[in-house]
Amino acid sequence: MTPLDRLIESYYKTKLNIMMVSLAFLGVMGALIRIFWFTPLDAYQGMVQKIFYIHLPCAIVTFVAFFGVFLASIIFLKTRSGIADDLASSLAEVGVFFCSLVLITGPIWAKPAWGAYWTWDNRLTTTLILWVLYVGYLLLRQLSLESERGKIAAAILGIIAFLDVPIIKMSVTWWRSIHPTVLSGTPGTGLDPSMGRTLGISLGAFLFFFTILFIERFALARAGTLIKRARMSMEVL
Amino acid sequence: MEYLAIAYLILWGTLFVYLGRLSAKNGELFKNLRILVEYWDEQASKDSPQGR
Repeated sequence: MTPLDRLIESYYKTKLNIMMVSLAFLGVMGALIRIFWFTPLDAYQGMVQKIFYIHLPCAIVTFVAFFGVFLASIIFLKTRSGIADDLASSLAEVGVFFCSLVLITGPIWAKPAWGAYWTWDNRLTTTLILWVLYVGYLLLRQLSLESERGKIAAAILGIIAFLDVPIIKMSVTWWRSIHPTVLSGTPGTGLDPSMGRTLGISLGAFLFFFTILFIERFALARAGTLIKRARMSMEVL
Repeated sequence: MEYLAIAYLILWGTLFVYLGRLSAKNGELFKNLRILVEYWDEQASKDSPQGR
């Protein structure tokens, strides 16, 4: 067991996990209550605009997770560290979960706002490509049966796939798009301060929720690695 | 709309209950893992040429 595994063990032993899950629960519930009952309605879109406070934080969390995969993959290719590989696989799984939420909440909002669940808009298409790339990453890991060559191939894919993230960010600037740019609009546009605060709270809550999911998934990945190593050492003997 | 918001809160609440149970199971796994790793280490040291 590495010091990191001992740290994970003490995380569970001290029941810190239950405290963290409870805090994440309170955070997300608090954010949702604020979104539904204490944030003004959008003048044009009404109630449906409230999905924005979940859609955007999920998108930001997705980018954070995939940036983590990108960094961990680079470290893995340089050091062949098992911890870096576990980090990358765990972050990719949690990232795909949040990316799926983005792709679900987006069309729900798009139907009343644009009149269609889906259009092949630049931002929508590049986000769908991102999701497909990371689902492919997870499939590659599964199909390569966690072999060393499979891990290397997955790390390369994890790095290349991340190049789509800046393209998503810039897609509304580089090309014409119907997707709104709420946070980088021209002066005089953008969010009402109260809506901005709600967005901040929601982002904080979702980042914390993401952290909890990541810790749980990473702990599971470490447990799997430890069992595999112990089994291999027993077979050698 | 109010009912929809409450249903949505309940959905998230249910998800967190599930997450809490999952986390508790992960805790159990790590507790058992410690026992397993110690057992394996013991066996490995017994079976090694120095241990025999």
